[in-house]
Amino acid sequence: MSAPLDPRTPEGVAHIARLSRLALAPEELSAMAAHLGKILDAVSVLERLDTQGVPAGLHDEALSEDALRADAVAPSLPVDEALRNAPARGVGGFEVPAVLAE
Amino acid sequence: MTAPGELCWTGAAALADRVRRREVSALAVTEAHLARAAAVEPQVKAFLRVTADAARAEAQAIDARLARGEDPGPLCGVPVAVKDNLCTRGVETTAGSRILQGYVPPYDATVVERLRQAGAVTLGKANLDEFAMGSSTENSAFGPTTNPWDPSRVPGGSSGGSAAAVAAGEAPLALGSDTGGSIRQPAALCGCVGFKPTYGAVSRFGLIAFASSLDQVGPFARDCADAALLMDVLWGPDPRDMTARDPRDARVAGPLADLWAAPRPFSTAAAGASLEGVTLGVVKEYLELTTDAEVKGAVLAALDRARAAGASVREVSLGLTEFAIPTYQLVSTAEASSNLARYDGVHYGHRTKERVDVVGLYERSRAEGFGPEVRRRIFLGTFVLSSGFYDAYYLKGLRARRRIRDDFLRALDGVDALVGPTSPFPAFELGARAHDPLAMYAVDVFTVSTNMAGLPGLSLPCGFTSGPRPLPIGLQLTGRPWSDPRLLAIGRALEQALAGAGGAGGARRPEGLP
Repeated sequence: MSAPLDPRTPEGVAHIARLSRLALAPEELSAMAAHLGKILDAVSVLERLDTQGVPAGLHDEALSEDALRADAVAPSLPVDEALRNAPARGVGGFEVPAVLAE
Repeated sequence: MTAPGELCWTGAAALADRVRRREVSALAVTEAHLARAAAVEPQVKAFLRVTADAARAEAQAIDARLARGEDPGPLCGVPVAVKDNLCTRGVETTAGSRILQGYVPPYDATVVERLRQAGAVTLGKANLDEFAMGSSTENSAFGPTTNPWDPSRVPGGSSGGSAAAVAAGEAPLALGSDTGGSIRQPAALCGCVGFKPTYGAVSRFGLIAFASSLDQVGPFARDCADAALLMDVLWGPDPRDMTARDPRDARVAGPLADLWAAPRPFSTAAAGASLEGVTLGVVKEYLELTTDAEVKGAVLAALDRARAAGASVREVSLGLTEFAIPTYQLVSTAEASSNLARYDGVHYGHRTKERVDVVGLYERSRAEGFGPEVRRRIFLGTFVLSSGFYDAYYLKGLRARRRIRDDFLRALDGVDALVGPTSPFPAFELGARAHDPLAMYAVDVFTVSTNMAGLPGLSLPCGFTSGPRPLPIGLQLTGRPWSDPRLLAIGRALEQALAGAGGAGGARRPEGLP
């Protein structure tokens, strides 16, 4: 695996923008890099916090196996209702630009 | 016969009683609040939309049920404002974002369903920072809400619309959500009561997700008794949210399970509220970080009152306070970037008009639909979770979070609640922090840890600043996991001890409003 790109460089920030699925203009990319730099500086105080051997799990109020509901059949949303908010819909589905080349 | 305007300053419990006894109709109560909203909204802008016709129809349905001799429920005819990140069937729900403009949910959030089952009337959808990301409501894509006490100042956020609606007399109750302080901080800045329940006490089904391990829904009210009334309706397990737990089960709430066994645990606990024998732990670091002398003074004066009412107060330390905001940055943005991946321009919401391929459709729809703060958080969260940085940032954040939780549980050992200011300063000017994201994040220094530790937290009014335009000051109480009914009862006893102390206790009304 190659070394990760430094997110404060132009290539690094463009990479994170791509992963974020955000089309950012060049000036916003550099503003984003500057913001990220400030956050990473602020977050660097955590280097002083010893977390060796500390579990990374959520707090105890979170998930546990006995929170599962009964596996019972219930009505689901009708297709028309589910599609009502779609910006573009085709026959019984969401419409997207062609994914495969012609 | 009460003047219609006075109905807007009557509490929820009293309104429900009077409607139930048919001294006043649910429709008259709703009309009074709609008239109040019409008068103050041009200045306050608490609502993104007031659903007047639907509210009238709901109120008439309540009146019809009463006429048939039925009991519509504990919130009989009480108007409620609903934060616009909670789904309402058939009513546009935007989360304050352009990307969801025009989105009409086909279902109600569980908490909205519970409001309806309890006989409440929903007045409309309250403004918020986009996707609940912010501390001033200035990040709303549809313009800011102003503070009812001073229109040049922010109401706090992200639930600023909910807090302002309650403080301005537009609704006696409101629903908000709290991921890092978004109920407690605006409650403090607007002078009302706001409660964030223990993680898992209230269902998140139908709450538009920001950071799923931190988000909780909770009430706004003008006093703790009304907040308790609403909590009795909201809490409880939900088959549609596996993180909503049943605290009556000792495997969930441990020895505190008994607290929840009463038919209405919050109202029951609040009715017998007393500070006799209660131990409060005042957080040393929170007082040190409160540079505003009036905020510090009001909190210390409230502690004197608490002592006089029988409480004992001792100093406790939260030694990891300086790590709270950075840890929250890592954990909350990581979760936000995952949750907001669903906005793709395909299923619902904004879609770019540009003719592009499918990845371009995602990238452009999202860049056009999300505001700058949301884009920043998605970006940071994506980075934190990205290959090569995950261990150093996200895992580090999760481990730090665990240590912060342990710090809180240790500080809570031997005390009933931690106490300190909710916010280091009162409401700030619109625009004062809007262009400096880190200055805005710092606002939440006393509130974010509660969410990371999963604890219940309460803010209640404890005084006002001096000067020609007095601003409310909020006091925060933080309790052990699942101590929620007891924590709200301590808040109730404290607000009773504060009643008459310079307008503390939520009794004062904002001047300068119509």
